[in-house]
Parts: sequence; C-alpha cells; structure tokens
Amino acid sequence: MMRWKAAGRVLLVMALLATGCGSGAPPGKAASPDGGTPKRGGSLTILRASDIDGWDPDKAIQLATFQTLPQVMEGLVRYAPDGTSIEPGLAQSWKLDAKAKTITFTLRSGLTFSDGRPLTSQDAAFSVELWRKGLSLGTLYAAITGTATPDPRTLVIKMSKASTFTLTWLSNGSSVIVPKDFGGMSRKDFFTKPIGAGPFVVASYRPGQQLVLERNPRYHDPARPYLNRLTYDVVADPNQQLLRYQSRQADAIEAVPLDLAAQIPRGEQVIVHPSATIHGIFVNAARQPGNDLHFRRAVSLAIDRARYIQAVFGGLAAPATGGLPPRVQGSVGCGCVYETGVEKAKQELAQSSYRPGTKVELVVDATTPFSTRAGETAAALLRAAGIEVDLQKLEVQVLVDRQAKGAYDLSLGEVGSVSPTVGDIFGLIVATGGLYSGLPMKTISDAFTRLEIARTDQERAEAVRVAETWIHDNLPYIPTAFPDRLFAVSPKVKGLKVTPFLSYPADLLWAA
Amino acid sequence: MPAARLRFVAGRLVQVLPVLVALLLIVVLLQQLMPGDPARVIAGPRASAEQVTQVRHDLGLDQSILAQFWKYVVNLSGGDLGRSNRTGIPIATIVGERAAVTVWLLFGGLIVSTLLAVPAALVMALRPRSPAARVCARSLTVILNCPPFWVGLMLASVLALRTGWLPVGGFGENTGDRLRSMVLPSLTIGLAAMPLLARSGAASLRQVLAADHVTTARSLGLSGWPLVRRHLLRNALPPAVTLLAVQAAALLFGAVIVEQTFGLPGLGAEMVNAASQRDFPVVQALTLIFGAAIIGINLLADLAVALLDPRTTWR
Amino acid sequence: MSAHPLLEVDGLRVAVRRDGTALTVLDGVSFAVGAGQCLGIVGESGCGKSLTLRAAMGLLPPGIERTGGEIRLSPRAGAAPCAVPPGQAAGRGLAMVFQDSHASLDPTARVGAFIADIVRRRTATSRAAARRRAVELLASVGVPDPALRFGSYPHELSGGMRQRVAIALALATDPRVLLCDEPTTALDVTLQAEILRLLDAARADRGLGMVFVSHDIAVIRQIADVVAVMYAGQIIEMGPAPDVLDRPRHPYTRALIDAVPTLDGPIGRFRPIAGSPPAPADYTPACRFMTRCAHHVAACSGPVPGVDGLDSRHRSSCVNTLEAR
Repeated sequence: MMRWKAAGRVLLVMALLATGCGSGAPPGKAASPDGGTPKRGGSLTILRASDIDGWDPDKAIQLATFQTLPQVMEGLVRYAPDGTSIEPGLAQSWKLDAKAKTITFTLRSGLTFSDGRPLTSQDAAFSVELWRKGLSLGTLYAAITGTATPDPRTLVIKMSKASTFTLTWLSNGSSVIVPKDFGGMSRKDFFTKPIGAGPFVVASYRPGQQLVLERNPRYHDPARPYLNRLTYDVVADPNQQLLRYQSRQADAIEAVPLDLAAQIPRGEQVIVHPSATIHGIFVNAARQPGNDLHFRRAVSLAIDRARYIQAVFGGLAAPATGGLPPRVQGSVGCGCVYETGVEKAKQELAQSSYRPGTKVELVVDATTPFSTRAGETAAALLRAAGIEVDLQKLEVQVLVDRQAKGAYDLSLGEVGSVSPTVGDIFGLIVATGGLYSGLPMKTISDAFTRLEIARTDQERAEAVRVAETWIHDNLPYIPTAFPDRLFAVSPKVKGLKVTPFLSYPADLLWAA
Repeated sequence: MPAARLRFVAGRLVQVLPVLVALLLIVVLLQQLMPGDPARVIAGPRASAEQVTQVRHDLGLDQSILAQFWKYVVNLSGGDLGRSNRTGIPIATIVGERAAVTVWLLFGGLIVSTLLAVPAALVMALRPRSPAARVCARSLTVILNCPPFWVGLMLASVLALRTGWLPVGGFGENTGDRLRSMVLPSLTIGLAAMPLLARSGAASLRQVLAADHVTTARSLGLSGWPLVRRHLLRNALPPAVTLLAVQAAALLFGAVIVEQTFGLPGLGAEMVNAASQRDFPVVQALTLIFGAAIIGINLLADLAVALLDPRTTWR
Repeated sequence: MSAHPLLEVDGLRVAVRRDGTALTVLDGVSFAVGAGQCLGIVGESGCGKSLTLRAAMGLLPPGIERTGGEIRLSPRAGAAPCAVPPGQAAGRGLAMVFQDSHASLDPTARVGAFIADIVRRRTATSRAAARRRAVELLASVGVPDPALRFGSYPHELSGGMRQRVAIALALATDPRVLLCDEPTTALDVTLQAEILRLLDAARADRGLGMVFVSHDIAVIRQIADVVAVMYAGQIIEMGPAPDVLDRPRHPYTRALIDAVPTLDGPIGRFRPIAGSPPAPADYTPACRFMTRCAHHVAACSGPVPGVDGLDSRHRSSCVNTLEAR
C-alpha cells in the first residue's frame, strides 16, 4: 500500500515536471538578451520557408505547423519555453491516476473562445475524439480509449494503460482544443479560419503567402501575448529571405539554411545546439548489400563523424551519440559508442557479403546545396572505405517515393521530435519500418510500450536504452549527427526561446 | 468589315479548344508517369499504408486515368477548376489571389523590354556603324548571357538593399507599394526578354529599310524620323509583334524564376510549389491557364498583325 | 530648248564595295537633259542604266557607292546647273518612277494620304488644300474617280493604276527632271501606250526634263528625243534619237536594233547577239564589246573610252565605226 502511494506521489511529481536529460549542451541561448521588461504592443514579422500544413491538426507534418497551431488553438497543457517540462495551458491542473488509467484535467474558470463562446469540457472532449481519429497522428493517441465530462470544468481522459507519454504528448502542437462540433461549421470550413482559445487570433491568412495573427483580447492570461500583431511571411528562396531580413522588411527568419549562417551577424544568431533531430544514412536492409549487418557496420565505421560535421555543417552540429533525438524527455542514449575508423570499416566490409566494385546507390535530395554537399561528403568517406558509391541527386518527391517503396540502397535524411518527449519518434520509426530499412520493429515497438507507461525517469531511461541499444547493434539506420538549427533574430525581437524540438511560444515575444 | 473580323476571331477561338484539350491530356498523363505519390505527400511519413490508400481513395486517385480525366473535363466545363489536394482550397480562389501578381509582372516586363528594345533596335538598324550601335550590340550580348535570377539578386542587393528606395521583394498591400515592388522584378524580366526583341526588331527594320517602297519614299524626299514613322514602323511591326507573342511563352516561364527570386506570390511560384508537392489539380489548372494565356496572346498578336497589314483578307 | 540643261551628269563613277575592295561598275557616265527634253537610255540587263539613275538620285543600295563624278541640277528656271551633294536632289528637283509598282508603294499607306503628305512636304499648305491637290494630281494622271480612290490602298488598285499613282507621287514633288526606270516594262501593251502618253504629256505641260531607261528599243523610239546606248558600264553611243536608231555607228547598237523582231520584217529570223557582256570584274580599258563584235580590229584592244554625253552631237565610242568603213 505504502509503496503504491509513494509511487503514486512520485508519479504525480514526475507527471507534473517531465524532466528531460540531454546528451550535452545547454539549451539554445537567446542572442538578444531578455534584459528589460516585456513591452506590450508592437508587431513583428517572421519569415519561414514553407507555410504551415493548414489548420487541421491531422495534417501537421512540418515543425512550423506544430509551432503555430497552438498559438491560435491552445491545448490542455503547454510545453515550457525551454522544452523540458509541461505547464498549464487551458487546464490549470491535472492528475494522472495510474491505477484507474485516467488523467483528470481541471480547466481554468471563465474560459472562452476568442469569439466569446464559453469553453467547457465538452469542447475538450470533442477535441480529444478529433485527435484520436486522426489519419496521420492518430496512433500517437492510441492509448486513449475515451473521455468523460463530469462537469463543465473537468475532463477525464480514459486510457488503456497509464500512459505518461500521452500526458507529455498532449503538450505538443497537434493537441489543440476546438469548439464542439466545430461550432456548427463543417470541419473543412472551420479549419479555413479556426477559432480557438490561444493567445492569438487569425486576422488574415493567405495560404502559401502570409499569416497575420493578432492579439486575442479574450485570452485567459491578460498580460499575454505582448505583441499586438505577429506576421508570418512565407518566402521560399533563401537569398530573398536574407535580403528581406537585412533590409528589415522582416525581423526574424525561422530555420536559416546552414549555408547562409555566415551571413547573419553573430549577435543576431539564435542557435539551437543541437536540436532534437537526427541526421543519418538510411539503409535498405531488405536487400543486398544493406541486408548484411557487417556492411551496415562498415558504413557506420566509415563515417568520421567529426570530419563529416565540419565539412557538411560547418561545425554547426554535434556528433550523433545515439539513434534517437537528443535533449527531449527520455533522451538518455545507450551509453554505447558509435565508433569510426577507416581500417575497421574495411575489415567489416571484408567480412560482409559485399563484393568489391559493386555499385551502391546513395540517393540524396537535389534541391539544396546542403543536401548535395552532405551526399558528396558521405560518398567520399564511404568510397575511402572501399564501398563503390554512386551518388544520385533526386527531386524530393522522387526520393520519398523511392524510400517508401524500398527502391534504394542508401539515402540521407533527417528526422526529429515534434514534442517534448522522445516517444513521438518511436511512432515514426515504426511507421516507416525503421526509417525505411525494412528491419523488424518488434524491439522498438516493445520499447515504446514500456516507455509509454514508464512512471519514473529510471523506467523511462531503461525503455529508451533498450531501443537505443537495439539501434546501435542492428543499425537500421546510421546516425551521423545531431544538427543545430539557426534562427536569425534582429535586435528588435525579444523573448524568443526556442525548444530543442524547434518550437517557441509566440506569446512570449515582444518588440523592443 | 467588323463582321468578318469577328468571324476571324471566332474561328481562331474554335481552333484553340482542341489544343487545350490535348494540353490537358498530356499534363494528366505526365503526372501519372511522374514518380512521387500525392497521397503520401498529404498523409505524411507517419501514416500507414492503409491510411495512404484511404487518402488516395478520397482524392479519387485510385480510379483509371481515363475516368479521372473525364471527371475533370466534366467539372471544367461546369466552370469548376477543382480544389487543391493539399489545402482543399478551391483553385479558382488560389488563381484569383495570385493571378494579379503574375499579370502585373508580365505587363511590367513587357513595358520595360519594349522601352529598352525599341530604341536599341532603331539605333542598330538606322545607324549601324555608329558607336551607339556598337555599344548596343555588345550590351545585348552581355545581357543575354546573364541568368535572370542573378540579375534579380544583383538588382535587389544594389538598388533595394543598399538604398532602401525599393522593397527587396514581396508584393505589398496597397497600390503604391505594389507599384514599387514591381519595379525590380519588371526590370529583371524585361532585361531577360529584351535582347531577343531588340535583335529581331533591328533585323525586321533592316529588312524593311531594304524594301523597294522605302527607296520610293526616299526618292520623294522623305528621310529621318518622318520616314521611319510613316513608312517603316508600320511595316516593321508585324514580325516584331509575332516575335513578341512567341516571347510571351518565354516571359511566362521566366516569371517563375523571377517570382521565386523576389518572393512574389504569383502563379509561377504556385506552379512550382504544386508540381513539387504533386498537387495534380493545381498543376492541371495552372497548365490550362498558362496554355490559354499563351494561346490568347498569340491570337492577339495574329489579330494585331492582321489589323496592321491592310492587305489581310479576313477569312 | 532653253539655254541651260536642267540636269548634268558628269563623269559618274560607281563602285561596288565588298570585303574592302572596290569594283567599278559605272565608268565615267556623262549626259545632260534640257527642259522638255527626253533622254532615253537603252541597254541590256546589267549594263548599269538603272544604277545610273539611282546614283543620280543618291539612292544607291548599301555596299554600292559613288566614287567619282558630279551631279549638277538647275535650281530654278533659267539658272545654270550647280553641283548637288549625293542624295540632296531626291524629292527636290529630281523625282523617280520605278518599274515594279507592286513593291514600290508602301502597302500600309493609303495612296491619297501619301500624295497629300508629299505635297505638304513640298509646300506648307493646310491639310484640306493638300488633299485637294492630291485629288487633282490623281485626276491628272488619269485615275478615274480620284476622290474615291483617295482612300485606297495600293493592293486594291490594278498595276496600271498603281503606276499612275507612282507618277502622281513623283509629280507631287514638283520636280525639274523626272527619272523613269523602266516604268512600262511590267505592263501590257495598251497600258504601256497610255502611260507613255501620260509621261509625254506631263513632260510637255510642265517643261520637265526626262530620263527614260529601258531595254526595249521600241519604247525608246516612241518617247525619246535623245538616245544613249549603254554597254558594260559605259555609254558607247549617244545622239539625237533618229540618228542613233536609224543610223547607228556602234556595232552593238546595230546588233541591238537588229535583234528586235518587227512586225514588218522577215518572219522566222531571230538575230540574237552571240555571247554575253563581260562581268564588272572583267572590265578593261579596251573595248568591252570586242569579244562579241564581228568588226573588231587591233585598235580595239587599246584604250577605248566611253562617249562624253555632254556633247549633244551624235558620237560613238567605236574606233572602227560603221561609217568609217
């Protein structure tokens, strides 16, 4: 009895403060000092290379979507600005009951949507059903079996297991609260100009061009957001982005391509070092030569990660020490080492079934200088180890198609977390068959099942370690680096805090 | 007379229809042959194979090419351009928002290229051995070899960034801003189109200059600007107008590059986005629009040439 | 005939400039035309007769230029001819009627407006006055319904009508001398006769000088007072028309006249001149007809200059003239 109670208390504490263990560096430092009290008023313009995927949370694929949706449609909980814990959103408190397998949320009092309509647990329950039935992300809510709304301010989420993962996952950008039955509109119509209870409202939206957000006067925190208006301009061409930033037609750029990093003055750079992203070589382990573990080991040994990072990222990355993204909850690594060495690579290669001289195709994205450079660097390193690499630069959709169909040998890619927990990447790895490797995913799925219900940091770490060890030993893909991400931020922008999973609360921004 | 002209135009319009249908068919076929799965793009990397299949079914992509094509044509004849696969927004709305940008750009480019090409052509044809003509000819070669995106970048860096007189990109909200934002892109696209126009204009002028009727006019004492204005221009215009129409196609696709370079939210940029995301309805609709635009421009050119030449029999 | 000639062409040299080298095609052509007088220039294709007219007008095509000689035009009635820089004379004293009216009229210009424009260039009159003058001119060249035809385009008119318009245009510049470059060659015989009559009448009515170039001896016979025969870039015979045409002194002239079949001559006898004229590259100071001439002697190989047409007596360049034999 006592042990359970103690465990329950620990669980509660754990649930309240989901701490993350990083694999190294301190959180992204803001270049513009936050010194000074936030000023209310003003407006900022931020550039991004591609628009959000739309307001429908089920369509969320890009990081920008996960960042922007909750600004208009806040969720039950939010991630803390440093990305290491969750904090109250529309819910002022919550309780995870491990035995009953429920999470009970208490909504704040007096909540309304931005149009004045009151927000109750009915709306929240409707939203939970929406998330569960999602086509793309529904599996991440798989533990949820149903909801109950005992009173207008209480929402009970019922689960099939005591999933702490689900709780943390509810702080991510796709878990947004919308009005019940979309306020009488159709789903499609509602998500053309959504109404939520977030800090901002959509003033105007031209898809693919510009999004203008304005302060929600009915937001539950009267002090926030600081800005009157926040404009997102979609500009695809990196040169045009730079020009607009330099001429101050825009105040900040999200995700500056690493090639242009040198053109941003140091004092205006906000570097997330590293971000919760894995950059690696995907291997098709369903056919030769990728199906031979010795070959995969040879590939991993051939990549001198330090050299690779210098050549490809200009130093703006950390060497990969694990197969899962760093700096989110559960990122413990496996304590194992990814070795490098050309001689060892050659030895492994000799032990493999790879016949010297056989062409191995490495397909990369043709559209950015960064990816072609990465391809060329990787190809050179692999060739030095004796693997005859044929580098093919393909258009993005063609590349994706080849990966999905398993019609490739090696490819380069990046995947990252979209929430404060490492758990969301498990789903991606499983869904893509080990990042297009074709290897059996049972160990990873089992590890995720353990992770889901982990109540302590230690349990979480054990589950993750199992997965990491399996990835290290079986190499469904070869992690090479944890890339940095760079934001260009003019002195006018204050209060920008970017999480390792590249989100930032826009209601904390203010204009100097 | 006007009735005959109307019949002329109507006859040409009727000829246009099969061309557009053929264009559509080719685009539909090409998209089917292209690798890349639009359903996968929409469903995202986390979706399972079943879910992708579901999306494919919802989009109607699992039907035969012929069935899809027929459905599209039926919708089209009812005026329905369809919706974007990715965003669900009616394509007519997308076109309505973005067409203005591209039209402004093309007009701006046309004005710039004409303003630059006509004097150059006149100088090169009428004073072929003067230093001015030599300078013109050399400049044209230089300009012809400069890629538009580089020219755009240079112009934006030097004329906009350094001076602050003009915006580096974007379209702007009010008419004043929009006019200013069109200056550099029009200059870029106009410069790209100008050399060919100037050279062909000069060649056309030279040809007319050597014509017998010019000798007659000279023998009657006409020379200089009155000669050019009354007897040269109207004769030299038809080949130049025809070339201009041919250039329209090049201008339209140059617009794609310039729109990207200056971040202009036009139809060209939308076409690139839609194609790279395999958004078939948008690609098809834009292809039709571009095709119709080019055909329309050529028709106008034919009309202009026919009007300019009094010998035309309107058939 | 008045005291001074209206037009004097003195020692005209024209050369073709190609790749830096100059090839002489007209070799010292000289002639004079007086008021009311018609000079007919006859010769076969390529002899340089059209070029002579164009050189006089200053309308040489690109690549061909005047390399020597002087053009003198009498500026007013009774004045002596004075030198005119190249091209200055066109439209100001000299006017030209061309052979191919189809191509020689601007297809985009309505004929009436064109003539009116030329009239206004010549004298500053109002639009309405110029229009009236244009209609008068059209009537004077025999265009029926001139007020209606005012608005016609060239392609709406017949060949003969177009030629009349061309003449009206030339007359609109109020010329002193009218140069005609085979204006009837493209027309049928009846039309030919009418145009010739028209030109003759214009010459008589206005006291114009006229230079009429043709390869057709019959036409020359009808219209010319003085005849010059050109061959290979030179005038090889010149004089009053009856003299030259009935009592030619140059074997070439003789052969030219004989080569034309006449209605009352023996049937079935065609007498072409054997061989062909030399190319300009092969022009020599010697007699250029020598290789085709049945009467050539040793002296023909020596320098044989062309005829100085400023002298109005009947002369030929042949050193072995028929008369001498």
